[in-house]
Amino acid sequence: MRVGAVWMGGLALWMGTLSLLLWLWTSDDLPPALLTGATVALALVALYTATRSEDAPPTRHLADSSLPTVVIVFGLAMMLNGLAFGLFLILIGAEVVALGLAGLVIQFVAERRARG
Amino acid sequence: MTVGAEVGAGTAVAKAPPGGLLAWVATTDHKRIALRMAIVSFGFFLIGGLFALVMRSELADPGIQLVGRDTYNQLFTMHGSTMVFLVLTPLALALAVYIVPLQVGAADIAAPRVTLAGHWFVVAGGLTMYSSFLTDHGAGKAGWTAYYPLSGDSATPGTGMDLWVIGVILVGVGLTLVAACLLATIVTLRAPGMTMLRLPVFSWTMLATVLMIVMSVPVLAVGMALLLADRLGASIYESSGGPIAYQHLFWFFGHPAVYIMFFPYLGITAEVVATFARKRFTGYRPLIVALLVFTGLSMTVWAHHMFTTGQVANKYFSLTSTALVVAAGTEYFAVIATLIGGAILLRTAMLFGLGFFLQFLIGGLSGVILASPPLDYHAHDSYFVVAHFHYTLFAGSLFAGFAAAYFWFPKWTGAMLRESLGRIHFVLIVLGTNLTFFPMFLLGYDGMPRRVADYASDAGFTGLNRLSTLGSFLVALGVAVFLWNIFVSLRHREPAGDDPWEGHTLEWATSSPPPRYNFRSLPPITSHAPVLDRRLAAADTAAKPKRGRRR
Amino acid sequence: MEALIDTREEFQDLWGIYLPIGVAVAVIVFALVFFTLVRYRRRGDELPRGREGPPIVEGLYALVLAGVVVFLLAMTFRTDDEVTALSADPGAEVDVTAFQWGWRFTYPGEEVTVVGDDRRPPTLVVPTDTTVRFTVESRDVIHSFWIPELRFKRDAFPNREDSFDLSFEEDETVGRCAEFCGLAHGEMTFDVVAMAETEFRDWLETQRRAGGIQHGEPSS
Repeated sequence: MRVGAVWMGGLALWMGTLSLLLWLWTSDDLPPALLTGATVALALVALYTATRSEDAPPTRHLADSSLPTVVIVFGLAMMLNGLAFGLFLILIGAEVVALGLAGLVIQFVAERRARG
Repeated sequence: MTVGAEVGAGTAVAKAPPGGLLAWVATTDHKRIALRMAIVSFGFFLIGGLFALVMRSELADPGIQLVGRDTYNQLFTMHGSTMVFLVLTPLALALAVYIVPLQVGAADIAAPRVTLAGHWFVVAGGLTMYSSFLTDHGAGKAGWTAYYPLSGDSATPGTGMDLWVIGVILVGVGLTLVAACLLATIVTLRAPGMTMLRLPVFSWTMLATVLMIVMSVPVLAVGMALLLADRLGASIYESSGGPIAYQHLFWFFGHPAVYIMFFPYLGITAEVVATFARKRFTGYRPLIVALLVFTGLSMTVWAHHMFTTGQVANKYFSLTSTALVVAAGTEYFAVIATLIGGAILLRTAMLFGLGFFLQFLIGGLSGVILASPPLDYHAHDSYFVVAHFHYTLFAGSLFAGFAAAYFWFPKWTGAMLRESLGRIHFVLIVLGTNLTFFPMFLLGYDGMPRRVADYASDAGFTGLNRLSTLGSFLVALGVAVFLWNIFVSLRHREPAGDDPWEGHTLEWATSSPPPRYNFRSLPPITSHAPVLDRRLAAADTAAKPKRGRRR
Repeated sequence: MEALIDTREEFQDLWGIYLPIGVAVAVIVFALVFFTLVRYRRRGDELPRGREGPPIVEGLYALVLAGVVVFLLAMTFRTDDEVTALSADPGAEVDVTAFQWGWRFTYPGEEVTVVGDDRRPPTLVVPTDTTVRFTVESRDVIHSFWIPELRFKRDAFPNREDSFDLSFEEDETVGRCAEFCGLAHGEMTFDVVAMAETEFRDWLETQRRAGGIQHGEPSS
């Protein structure tokens, strides 16, 4: 079990206490709901961390660079900008993302081959 | 596409980094990603600063002289948005992306491709935000807070405002991705022997920071996505409860955001102060506890931005906001305790660190005032608040940003920054900063509202505005000296070596700059200051050569 | 007979507690830092060996800080109750409607309205020495009704009324909009004139006879 989870869990407990106080203090639901949501999110991260193996970090197989990643980001950015500029940009962006995904897949396959 | 070598957390592989522009753009080396993030942030800082100079020039005298009111509104919106979304937050993350993997003894950051993606999302967001200047109605102009209904499409029509919202969403995605990678690095990639209670202070402050990012930025993304939907035709915030709901969603992110822009810089100051006091950081455990208490509290204070709406539980939020004093005071105590009994050397990095420490205090104390609703009923939305957040974020965080530059520049580039120019930079900017922002406390108290392009000649605001404008140009001069320092220091390099400052933490246990996978070997990790421990042990051994005892 | 609400005095009293404490803290911290810079400056090759005992000092110090916080909150809560209290029997009432970019003041039951905008700011006329009940609302975006002299503001939201009480001394002062609301936010001011109750009643009567609306129609 990862020790970091304990620290995060402690923080979640502290936030849970402050959330409870807010639920009791105000009749408006949104503020305490937001706070409880954040607390739950943190607790989930802590839980996930707790389940991760404590073993020494595994050897990681890293590509030195990843152009497909950058391409995907700009494709997604284009798609989002398309909401302001029009459908054409959303479609172009989608194509760019697809291109980037393809490149990423090729990268992953190459890495797995190098590992094996 | 290349496939890199296998790397373990503490091992290093000697491998020449790929060259070329393409590799720079798409590199997975956390150090290069970080430097690029930092340079981009600094570029945005200069642009945002330029906007500030234009605004200050306009405000020096009553009457409209330089820019019309509509342009002014775009300027202050983009100035604030730039500084929060594109400068202080990404810069803090950039520093962390470079330094945290080194401080924890890792060969690289966790999920480098995700880090890379995060950085480019921030850039894409910035470009989107700025492209709004080219539209018919101009750039976003509803303030960096974009309150509804002002930010809605009937009060602020046009594609420019849409692009501003989209830009913020993209930046938010980017910041969250980078934060997640840092979180994974701290929690899972620490070198053997580095327990949580041996994590360096800067890495602890970054842990708190990324936890806040992960908890709060998604709420910003949701709030902004809903605003975008509303602008594009959906009916989201239009009910009578809509405007206040928007403010809750915004400030639930917006308040932790300012601590996201505080903790990293506190961490930098802690490292700098300990190093130049030649003493391990004192009060480490109380600081950690205070940091976590602060983090939890910081998520619960947001509605202190809404005291004057009459629609929130003022007393609850006043309580949590004022309670921060206990945590902040403990953190301050630790820094002073580190100074006491030290052997202090006032290098430029130390000057800026102390500048952060003392000036942030002024900002923070004015924050305690604002946390009191009856006092806030007068000060809210006045220049008092503008003074408060510039003391915390500019005189505070950004000064620590300069401290980080002077402190870690040798590590990043292998060259030293000039101390002489550094001192000139410091003096100019300290004078300029206080001359710019202190008068604003008085202006706010006297009744000058914020976000105004102009004021009446008989309002009594002229004199202080003129002083403030004068100060802003001194600041600009100081920044120019800093730029000159970087240029000169890279042109005529003074080699730094691995450890020019006798540092305490692991980044100083490798070359400057570090090799691709950071470490050829690691010293034993015995505390939060392993390199200091190693130096002290060596000094003890040297002092007792015959007995050969080790501490 | 309840005491007349005095937002300015309440503010000044509380300010008189917060400001000295803030200044004192700043002075102490500055002095401490400068002291260490002199007393502990590096003189040679010394390697300080800080030793950390149990955090007793930090614990005590945190308790002291907590005590200060409790004190400040007690003062703040008490003042907040005073300043946001609503009188059972206000001496006058004004309904405030904020809009882009001006103000409309209506005296309910008196058939008098005063309207103005950024080009011709309106005047808010009020009686002295009595509680004046304000109810604010916005016609469009969020604005904020601020009278700096009285150290008080309240936001004006669309589709929502919010009420608060103020009292005035015989004086003339100014009011401003304090929530960014677009182009003429900085010009959205109003004058405040406070006069004795009898004169105020006379003024209302004069307005009624003149047709009930002062100044021009608001710009739209």
